[in-house]
Amino acid sequence: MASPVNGIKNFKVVLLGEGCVGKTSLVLRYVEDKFNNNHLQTIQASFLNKKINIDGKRLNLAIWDTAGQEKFHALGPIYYRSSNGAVLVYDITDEKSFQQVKTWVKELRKMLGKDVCLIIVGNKIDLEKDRHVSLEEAEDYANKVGAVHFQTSAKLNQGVEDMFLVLSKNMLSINEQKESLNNSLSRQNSQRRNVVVVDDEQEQTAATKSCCGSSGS
Amino acid sequence: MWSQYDEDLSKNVFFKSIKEYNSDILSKAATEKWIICVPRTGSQRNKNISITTILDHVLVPHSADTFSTLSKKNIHLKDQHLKYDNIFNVDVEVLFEETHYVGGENKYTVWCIEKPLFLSQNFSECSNNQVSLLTLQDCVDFLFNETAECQILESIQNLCTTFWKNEEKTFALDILQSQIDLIGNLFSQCLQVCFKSDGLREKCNSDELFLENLKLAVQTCMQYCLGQKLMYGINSLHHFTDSELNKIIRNSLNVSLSDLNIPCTLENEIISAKYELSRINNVFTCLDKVNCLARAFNVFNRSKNLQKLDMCLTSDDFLQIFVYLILQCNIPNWIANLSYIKYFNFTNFGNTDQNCFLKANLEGSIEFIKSSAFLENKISCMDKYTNEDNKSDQHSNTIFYYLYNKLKKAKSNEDLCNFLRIIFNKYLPETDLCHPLCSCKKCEQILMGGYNQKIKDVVNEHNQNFLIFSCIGNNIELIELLLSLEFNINFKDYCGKTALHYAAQLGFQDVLMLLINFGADVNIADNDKNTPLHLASDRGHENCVNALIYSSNLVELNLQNFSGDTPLFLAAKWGYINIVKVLLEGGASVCIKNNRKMSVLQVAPNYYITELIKWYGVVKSNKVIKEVECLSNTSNHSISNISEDIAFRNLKERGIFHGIKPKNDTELKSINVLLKSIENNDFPLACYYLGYTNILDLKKINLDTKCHPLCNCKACSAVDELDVLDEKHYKKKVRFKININTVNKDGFSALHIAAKFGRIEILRILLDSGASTNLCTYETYYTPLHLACMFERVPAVKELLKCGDCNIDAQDYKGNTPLYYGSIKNNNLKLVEILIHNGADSQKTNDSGKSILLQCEEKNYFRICSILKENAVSKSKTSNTNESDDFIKNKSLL
Repeated sequence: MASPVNGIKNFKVVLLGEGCVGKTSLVLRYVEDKFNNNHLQTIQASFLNKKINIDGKRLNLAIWDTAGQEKFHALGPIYYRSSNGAVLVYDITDEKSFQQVKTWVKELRKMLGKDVCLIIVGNKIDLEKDRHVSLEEAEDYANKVGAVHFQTSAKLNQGVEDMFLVLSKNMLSINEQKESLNNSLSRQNSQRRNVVVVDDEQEQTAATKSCCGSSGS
Repeated sequence: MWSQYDEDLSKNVFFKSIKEYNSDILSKAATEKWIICVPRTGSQRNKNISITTILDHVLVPHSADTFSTLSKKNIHLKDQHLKYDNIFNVDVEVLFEETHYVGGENKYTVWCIEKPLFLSQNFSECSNNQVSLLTLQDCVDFLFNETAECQILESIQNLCTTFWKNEEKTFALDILQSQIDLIGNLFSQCLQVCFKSDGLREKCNSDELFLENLKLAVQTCMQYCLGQKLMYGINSLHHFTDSELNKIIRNSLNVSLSDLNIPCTLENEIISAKYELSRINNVFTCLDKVNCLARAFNVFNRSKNLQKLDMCLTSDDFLQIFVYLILQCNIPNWIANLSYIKYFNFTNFGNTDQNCFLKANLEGSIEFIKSSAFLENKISCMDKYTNEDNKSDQHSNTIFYYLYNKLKKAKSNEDLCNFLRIIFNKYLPETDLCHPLCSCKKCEQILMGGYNQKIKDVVNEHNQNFLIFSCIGNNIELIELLLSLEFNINFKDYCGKTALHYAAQLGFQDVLMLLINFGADVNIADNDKNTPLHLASDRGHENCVNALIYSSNLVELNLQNFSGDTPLFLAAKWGYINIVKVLLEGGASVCIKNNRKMSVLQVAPNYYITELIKWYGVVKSNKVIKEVECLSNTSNHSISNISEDIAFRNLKERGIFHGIKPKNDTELKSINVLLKSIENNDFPLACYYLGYTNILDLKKINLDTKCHPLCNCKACSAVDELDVLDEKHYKKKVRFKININTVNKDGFSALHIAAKFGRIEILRILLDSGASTNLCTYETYYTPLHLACMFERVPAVKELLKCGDCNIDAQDYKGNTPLYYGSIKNNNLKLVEILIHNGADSQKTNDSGKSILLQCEEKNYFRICSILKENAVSKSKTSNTNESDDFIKNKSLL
């Protein structure tokens, strides 16, 4: 979803993970870093913007936090569809949250394919003593599924910015690859029109014609 | 949140000059965490930027909101505004922040600001070339200004008017894709109109942003011109899913903030957001609808209260807040609205990040409401009360819930009495008994009287007694027990609701029928003047609406609640098409207007409901109203009775008999239910309406046809005995509540319906009870025989012909006889044989002037022809010459 206005490229990043793994803290730490905690500029963390400039290339990150509660799991696709990057967060002290990350990876790869940049983040490294997910295991898994693994602490502000920077660079490079591909394609078939694809999933063609009961014709 | 403003800083003159001549400042900023302020393009007049100006714009942070510039001026930040308190009163907005990463780890922050910080004398308000269109008004102004006249607006409007001229009838019935295509086409037509103007075309070519704005403006104006009809079409498309959703929504009204885990501190914000969101149907364009969502969202975003509380709302919170808002907003077409926003926007405006998020959030909330997860949540909050064992201690009405839970376990009347005995001694010890378990007569009496009275008086905090509460709990056994104790069936709680209200509201059909059977008042109103029928229609409980209408003919269909709405209004508004149908069939009026002076046609949200109302209402109900008026006249004036008699006699002379008109409203209603029950083949119900209250009577009638007339088998002799015994009794009983020849508004009698649907048992009963076989319907002049032939009910035809007085050659409004329907229409050999055998006349001509035989020949129904000819030959021997002359004449005409 790169839009040409003012040379800025829009990227959608979605944060996924179980409840209480620190998704919201991560995004707040990243976007609101400048201000200390008791001076929050925003009072909602479900959707935040961050403009960055990497070596002259302008990017706008739209960071979507998603609902973590189990009962909202089924709504996931509504939130992550057409996203360019996904940050899958687990809590290093909670083995279950890491298993949850694995199910998200499967789901995302299935729904969004190879074009989505995946980052797996082990949060809360300030609680190292309670660690239940080993670093090797997590990194091995990340390598296996083509994701980048990071360890962060939103509390101590460790690794958060690096993580988002690497994600941005990855998304940028995928975007550039795609664009060059598109350019060569569009040169081949010069006449290309924009095609809007709309899926009509909720189509209801219930033809409830009134039938009359008492008239005898 | 940052403002919408955006620009490419690499093209900003100020930033360029820093980069080119003072790059040392940038590298220093990266290490020292300085912030560079860049006045936005156009706000800086001076081409030559001096070093002092630059130093003025580099901020050295001291704490979160205090800074000093490199030129040693102290600045502080408040609400995204930079302030410098001196004579100049500097107050500059920070437009957006951009973090620059330069190779590896180096980064610095740039703030784009509204205008230079300290150049007030040189500063002139720049014209912003980036107009952002936020409202419909903006869009109209934009088009108006760009063309300097109304031309484009007018041509858009014309295009829309012609669009509806061609599409109005079919648009509502199209599938989603073709609706999108139609509107998309119209949109490109509108755009083409704009591109005819050279000025606009050039501007669009040179300025991409201008093109986007133009598209948005055209789309918005177009959608405004298309108006409500567009939404109506989309509503029709989604009417089914929307009504399903509405049913869930209406049955979840009692969900509270805490049920959804929303903190109560948000209450004020929720009220404002609800206000914003409930206006979504007052606006017609995508832009305005999305703005509506955004305003609701921003209520939370900008709330000072939340800032004070230092709360941070997460996605979980927003989902649940929106779920709550959707439940409370009184909007009947969420899915249509969502589809409109999603699919009918052809510009880029909806693709901004926030709008995308809002759409996803709305969709997520709707999906969640539709999901079973939500229902579980709802059920658990219903159960809260019934499993009150532990919690009840905190309530003042401990006893009520304790007793209720005990009562629930009672299986029989005896059980109940024992429970009461023990329980009341414990909890209501005022009763004077010899000793707690005494069973002397005196004590027994005290107990029975005492319990009964006491148990009826026990209420909970809502003033609900056990009867009402067991209705809420859908505990039908307990209700039966309680009713046997002679509870006041019409007892009201603080909301003015009776047990019947709750049964209707919660959709418990069994409970509802039970209560009606025990004589509950079906038209009783609660504090909002809602009757049980209102509540059942509002909550979409089709089964309860049916039960109310069919099981009691006392139900008033046209009562208005405090908003002036009849049950039909509520059912139409929420799109419950089946309930609308049932209500209309029951004779609900479509002429009543509610307190907002809206008729039900104006409330109808989609095509299907409108058509139903038009069909039943405007066509039929007008007739009903006329009839009812006429009826009320006849009952008032005796003269009109006479005139009716005269009319009746006139008809008789022409050989056409109509049935007896219902004398009053209730009779009209009961004939309607009777016909309905016959149609549904509901034998017991039909008999009930006919006045056979005793099952024995039914058996008798059925057994009239014994094995054979002289049979002596056991069953038949029993019948004979019964005959003798009950003859007098039986004759007394078979007295009809209404005259058996009473007809409905179209002139259909019970016999008509029984013949039409081939309900043979009922037909026999009717004939035996003396129903007239030759009644004609009002406009079509069908006799029962016509209908039986039309629908090929062979047994019914036989049964009808057994009656001596049945006119086999009756002609309907087109002059067709029953034989016509049997032969020409249905080509039914058996029917024709029966009819001919019984003396039907094959030479009768209908209005087309051709005899049946002739028409059969045309249709090549050879077998029927041969039967008819045989018959004709035998007849022609006796017939006079005139007829055969006619026959020849007819033939020669061909």
